[in-house]
Amino acid sequence: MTVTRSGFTGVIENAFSSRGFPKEASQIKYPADMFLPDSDLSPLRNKLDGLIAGLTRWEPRVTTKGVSSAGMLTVQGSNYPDALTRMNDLFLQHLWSDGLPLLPPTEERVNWILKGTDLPDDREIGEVLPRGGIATPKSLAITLAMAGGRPEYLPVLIAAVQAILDPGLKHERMNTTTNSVYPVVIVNGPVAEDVRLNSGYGCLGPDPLQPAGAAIGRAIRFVLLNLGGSVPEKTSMSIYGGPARYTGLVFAEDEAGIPETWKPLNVEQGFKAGTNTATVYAVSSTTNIPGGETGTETAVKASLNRAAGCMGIPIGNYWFATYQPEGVAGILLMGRRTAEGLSQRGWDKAKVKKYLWERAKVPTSELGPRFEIWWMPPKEILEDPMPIAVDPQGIEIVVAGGKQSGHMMWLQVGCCPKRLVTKKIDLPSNWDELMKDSVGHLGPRMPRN
Amino acid sequence: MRIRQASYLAIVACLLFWVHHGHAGTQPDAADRFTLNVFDPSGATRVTHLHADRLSDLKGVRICELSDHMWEAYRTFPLIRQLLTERYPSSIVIPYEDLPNIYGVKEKELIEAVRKAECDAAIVGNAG
Repeated sequence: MTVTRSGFTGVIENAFSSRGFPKEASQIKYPADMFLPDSDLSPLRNKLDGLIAGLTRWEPRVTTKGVSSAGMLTVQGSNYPDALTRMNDLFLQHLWSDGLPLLPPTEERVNWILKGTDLPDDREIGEVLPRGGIATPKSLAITLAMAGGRPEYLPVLIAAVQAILDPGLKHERMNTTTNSVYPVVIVNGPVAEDVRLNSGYGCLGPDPLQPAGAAIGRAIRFVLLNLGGSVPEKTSMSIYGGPARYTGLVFAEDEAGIPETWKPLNVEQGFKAGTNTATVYAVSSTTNIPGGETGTETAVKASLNRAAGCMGIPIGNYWFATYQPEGVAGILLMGRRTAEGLSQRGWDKAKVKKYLWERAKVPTSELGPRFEIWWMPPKEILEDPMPIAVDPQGIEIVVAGGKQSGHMMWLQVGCCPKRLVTKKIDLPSNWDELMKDSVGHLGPRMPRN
Repeated sequence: MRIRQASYLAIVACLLFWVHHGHAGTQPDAADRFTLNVFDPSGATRVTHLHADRLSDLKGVRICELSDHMWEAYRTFPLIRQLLTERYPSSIVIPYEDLPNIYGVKEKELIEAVRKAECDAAIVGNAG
């Protein structure tokens, strides 16, 4: 049985659920204050009978092994808008909503979205921790239905969830940590343009011309919330969460803007050029870095020095990356013009990474006592100044953000991925039909910026 | 005669009410005229292990303390230990300091340590 502080019963339930036990566990709850220094311990005396009962008389409600599936819910109203409002209220009461309006995951709508995959509806993709809800094409289609998604988004969502559930991402930590971390999904290949994912101006934000990222990212949040049980204060102890927890960061690399001598992200990850892929990482910030000019060698170095200055700060998140052989300190986004300018001046990706890695090192004197207590790396890794990743490969560079060179963006690692994870996106056999439907519903695709 | 008139009026009133309110009680309420059937989005979960049976009594049993060493564990567990052994003098409580810290230990190592301690039950804490 467990000795639990009030408010943490959900954490315990998910801990049991994630290990294959029924979530209801023998718990005895005490006031949270009792676990603070110099506290009054009288609740322990007062509840002794309860503690003994937890060891002797407690009975679990679930007494058989197997898979328990959620079913359908019926919501009634005076008309459709009224029923929809009641459904939104109900989903909030069950902690299944992000607080924004939901579309109803009806059978008809979910079946429509399932046209986006050739996989069987119940093919298991994995268990989303800590709760252990089973991700399947159908459960993902339900999240897309709620998020306002479309069938052609489903293959991207499936690949992104496969990447999130890969052991390299340690999603169970992302879902439970105090760190304010969220997934970033970067799509490569022609599918990005097909489904209308933004790679240019405003690619990290809302874009009515290329809206797919919002619904896919919101669906990912529902996967983490509803299948994974990552509810704030109940299981997710993330102190701030962050606005990107509504929709994540789902965008495409600007492959047309990648210099000839540079490789796209998915090729660096071991895939053939032109492959449809989703690359996922766990990040905790979006830091805008003004600049990115490359007109002269001096301007190049000034731009990179500014980036390194924003990257080389004494925060603990980096040391998750420095512990890992393939750890990545973050992803630097740069626009097409900056990448082209760097390439034209002889800066390939490796040279840029090495330059940034050298200049983003942090003197250990700036790291402070928390570093020593919590994140002190093994002596063989510790250096002064301390690099933000094991080697320059631990700084990822992605071309995105439009044609200009006005700004760069640093997506800093959050808790606690081991490495970037890339998965292939498998398109269904009816893809051409879905593309026709997309044009019929949303109009012709606009030229990419 | 007055009673008969009153009964007649009551029957008429009931009929009028019934007609006016559209057979109240046999038709759906106005708030229930539209039905929306939606999927529960919490999906399926798999139970592969069942919770252990409870002990019939704590007399003479061995109880392991499993702790994260945080949140005043150094005060709470000794008191729990004291209270339990006062109530059940024949029981033995293995202090958490004699077992691995659950924060960071590998699951298999922890299970093995509990098995080695020959515990009949475990109290896991603290606070989380």
